[in-house]
Amino acid sequence: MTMTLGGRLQTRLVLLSSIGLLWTIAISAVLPRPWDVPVHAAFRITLASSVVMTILGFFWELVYHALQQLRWDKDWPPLFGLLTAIVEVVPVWWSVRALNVLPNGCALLFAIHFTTTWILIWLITLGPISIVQPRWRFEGGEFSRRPGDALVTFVVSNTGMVIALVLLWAIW
Amino acid sequence: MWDDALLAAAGIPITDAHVISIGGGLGSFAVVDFLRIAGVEASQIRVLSRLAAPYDTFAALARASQLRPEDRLRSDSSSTIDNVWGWPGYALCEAWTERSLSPLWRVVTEPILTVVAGVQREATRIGWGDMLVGCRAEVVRRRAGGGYLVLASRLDDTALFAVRCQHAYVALGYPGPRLLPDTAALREQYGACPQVANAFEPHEHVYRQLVRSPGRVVVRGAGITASRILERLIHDRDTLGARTEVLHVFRHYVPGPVGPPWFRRAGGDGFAYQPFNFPRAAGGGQLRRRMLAMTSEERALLIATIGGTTTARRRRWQRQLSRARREQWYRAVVGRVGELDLDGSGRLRFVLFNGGAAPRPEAADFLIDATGLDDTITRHPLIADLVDCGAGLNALGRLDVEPSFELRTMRSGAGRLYASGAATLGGALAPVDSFWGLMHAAMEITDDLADQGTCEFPGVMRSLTQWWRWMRNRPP
Ligand SMILES: Cc1cc2nc3c(=O)[nH]c(=O)nc-3n(C[C@H](O)[C@H](O)[C@H](O)COP(=O)(O)OP(=O)(O)OC[C@H]3O[C@@H](n4cnc5c(N)ncnc54)[C@H](O)[C@@H]3O)c2cc1C
Repeated sequence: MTMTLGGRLQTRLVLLSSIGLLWTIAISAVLPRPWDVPVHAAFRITLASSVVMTILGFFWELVYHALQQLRWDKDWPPLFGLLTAIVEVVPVWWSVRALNVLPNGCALLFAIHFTTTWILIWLITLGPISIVQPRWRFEGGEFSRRPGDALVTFVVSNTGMVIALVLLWAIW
Repeated sequence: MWDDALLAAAGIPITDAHVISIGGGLGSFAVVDFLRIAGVEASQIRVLSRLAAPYDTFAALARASQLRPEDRLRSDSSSTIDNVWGWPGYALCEAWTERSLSPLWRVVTEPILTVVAGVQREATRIGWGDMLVGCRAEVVRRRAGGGYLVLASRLDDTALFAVRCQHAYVALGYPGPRLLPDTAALREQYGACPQVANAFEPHEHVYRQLVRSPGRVVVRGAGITASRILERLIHDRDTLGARTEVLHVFRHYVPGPVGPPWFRRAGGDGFAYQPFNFPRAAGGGQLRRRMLAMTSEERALLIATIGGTTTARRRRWQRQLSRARREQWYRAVVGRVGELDLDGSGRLRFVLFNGGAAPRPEAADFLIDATGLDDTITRHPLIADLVDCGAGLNALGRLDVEPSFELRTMRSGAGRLYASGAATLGGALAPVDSFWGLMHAAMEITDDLADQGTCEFPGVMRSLTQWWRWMRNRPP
């Protein structure tokens, strides 16, 4: 994948706040959790970690972009995109714990949610995304070429984020 | 500028089309494919070509340059020129049709075969045959009142005819193999002269002769084609018992990696290594972004740094060559072949100018030039005519195109003229002469034509439905 910095940020924001959010909402209730943890607590964990994943992701993308400069091809092989989950999961875990939304015994729930969301989004960037956005792969991962296209990106990602935050707030 | 009356007066029949694609190679194929997906009817498009199938020239050049049908191509799995979405790639498709997972990690596939089969399938799907007009395009001229007139001659009886169109696209590939002056002179003097071969012309006789009797061959060039020629020579030695000795002449010898840590290209044993013709990011990432903002001169400089003569670093080739060096039947020298001639017995003799060392007389049975294709694009009469009519040239001496691949100075009323492929190197898209680049160009051209109201650029819904049609092999 040949990403520009803008493309990285846009891709992360758009995918996490659309597909990532839908997936999170779809699976939260059925993820394994201790019997004494209510379902809204499960949603709290998964939504919080989604939001944290997005926000911290902005920082990570800067790091990856800097590392990409050391590569002659200035690209980011798909395998890197999969393996970076290993470095990203740690701060997300810390943050979710620091936010005090993680009851005991929910590590498995957190892990399954994080891993499946990551893999899903990774698989989508490998190809299917081009089916709805044929330009995406030619534009370094950016969705917008014209101001009009940027609006779509902006609306999709912000709607997703707002929904996630409202849900999170409602559950709180 | 021509008008219809002029042609009518000359007795030249005129037919109509909305969009004309001249060349009919893979570049034309990419553009026509995208336009069809964007909703242009086959009846509105005409392809003027000497070829029956879009891959004919590519396949012929590939065969001559020792790219076997089962060899890996120098592009990645999403550069599927027959699938504008790049997904699913070949491996996934194969896995689907075979209902098995094994193609996903089968390393050795049949890329050229697969590309050819893919293009064939897509060509049939979009109705390529109905759009094709077998002919030689002579000139493209602006038409009084807008659009263009393309003059062409039939392949069978060379009768002239003209096509009137609103928009035109030109991709003629290379004018031919690049003959170095000394080989050209030798051919002039001795006729066919089978002792000197060009990698892009059929030259099986060289390998056959070398298997029959031991011989010495000189290879010039250090690109991917030179790598394949060497591979073939070594293969014949290993499996057919040839006793070939190879003298490899490098013009520039790359001893190791070049450049600062943040811009370092791998290299060694004379070769500069990179997976594709250009770093991947020149096709759609940060390098392309940089180039979009550059002037023609800056682009030419950057292209010289990130392009040039390179080959892919493949472990097999490296092992083969290091064994060849050890066994002393492969010798790499830096320098230049001079005073090339034939001796009385028909053997080649020449003087090797080897840097600081004294010039040395040498002899060989064959010389294979793998120094590329002729990049003087004005050797295409049609392009020379365009330049005469005002098409600009860029700093590399190729056609100067906008990021939308339009030849800006050739605009004709509401009509637009586009070009891509080898003739347009030096623009914002460095790998413009590759599967990826041709697809990229096709997308930009379609988008630009969508702005003119010719078609609808595939947005989310159109793209999705068209993709589904592609998957089911239904016409667009
Ligand atoms: C050996 C080889 C290996 C390659 N490997 C790869 C690879 O691994 N990956 C990759 O991405 N790219 C690869 N390429 C590059 C790719 O094949 C080219 O980019 C592509 O074929 C160029 O398409 P084109 O339409 O510009 O030219 P072509 O495919 O050459 O087609 C142009 C056609 O125009 C026709 N023509 C010329 N003049 C006229 C006229 N006056 N009237 C009518 N028709 C005319 C010619 O007959 C020619 O067939 C390779 C190329 C070669 C030669």
